[in-house]
Amino acid sequence: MPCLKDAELMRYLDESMPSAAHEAVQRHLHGCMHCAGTLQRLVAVGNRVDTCLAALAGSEDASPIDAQESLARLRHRIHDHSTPIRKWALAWATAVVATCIVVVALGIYSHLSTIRGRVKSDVHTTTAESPETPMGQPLPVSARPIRVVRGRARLNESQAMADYLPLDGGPMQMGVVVRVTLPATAFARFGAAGSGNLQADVLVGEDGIAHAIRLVPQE
Amino acid sequence: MRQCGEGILGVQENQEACEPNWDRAFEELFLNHYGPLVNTLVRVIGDRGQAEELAAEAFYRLYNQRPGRRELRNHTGWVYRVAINLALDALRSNSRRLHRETEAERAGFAVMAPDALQNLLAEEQRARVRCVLARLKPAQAQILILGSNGTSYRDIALMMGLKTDSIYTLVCRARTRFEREYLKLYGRRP
Repeated sequence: MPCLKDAELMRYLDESMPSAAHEAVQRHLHGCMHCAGTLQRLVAVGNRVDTCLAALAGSEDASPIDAQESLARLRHRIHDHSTPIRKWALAWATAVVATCIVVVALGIYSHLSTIRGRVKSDVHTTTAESPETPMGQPLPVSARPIRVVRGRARLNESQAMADYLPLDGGPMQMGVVVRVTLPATAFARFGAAGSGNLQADVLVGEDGIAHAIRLVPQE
Repeated sequence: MRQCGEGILGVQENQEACEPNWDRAFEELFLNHYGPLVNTLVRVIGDRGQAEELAAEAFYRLYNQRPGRRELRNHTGWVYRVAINLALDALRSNSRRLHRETEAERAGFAVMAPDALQNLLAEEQRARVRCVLARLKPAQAQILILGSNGTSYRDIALMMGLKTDSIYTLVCRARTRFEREYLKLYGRRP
């Protein structure tokens, strides 16, 4: 008989071999020092490990385990998580909440778009008292808007200068149109004659200097 | 008389899950094995409350599995394997906490009475064994835990879905690995 594997020796130790095989292994062990040594090693390891694992037995709780109560709790848990009505309710609630979120988001988006479009197209007008400002001079900040007509936030210079008479303001990238009421004598240099007051649109750059002026036709 | 489609746990089951006697078998399985399973898990993790939770979790998973699956034919073995794996996972996640607690217990070592010292040493040994078990492969730990529980190797093989011949090979490997890990962790044989 050849030398035995560890698993065969374990089976021999477990006495789960057929009797004939068991006796054959026993005979072999009497004559084979190697297998006898292996068997001793397996027994020693098994004893040490079993002793270790036996130490775990001391941690058990002596109080009885109520399996019926635990089963009742498990029933409750299964019922809570598996009731079809509850599943449907949860699904519907999720769908409703998701729909509400989408609707609110769309509403906010469309409202913001409307406001943005209105800001682009609207013309805001305010009124104030008219100062007497000399042409080509920076408008004092406090007296700047008499009637402020705000067009685009950024004006194309060529568009802005159409129909306007350029003043000595230099180049301009952005400005506002300010409607002013000035005495007619202030327009003498532009060839305007008459008395009283005239209205004009002054294109004021972001530096506060008037860059161009346009007479407003009198009604 | 219970109708098909109405579970013993009070749950309306769909037709696919409605296998004859499944609910009855489940309840019987629970009542027969819940207690022994909790005791097994208490040995592994040392906490009765947590052991009960884990055992219930394993049975809950078993109930939610459909009985037609082949691997679920052996329900007892399945639930034991799942429960022990859950316990080993819990053990691994608790290992750091256990280490801190052991260190804290050592701080009060000098003032303990002799019988308390014995308890402390026993508890320390249990903590070491659990730490080593947590480092083994799940199958090896399962074999050792079930073996220490008094389950025969033949039954362990059935529970784990193994051939009877191969269980002895696995037992040898598991024991050798246990001893090696113990030696590596604590510098001496168990």
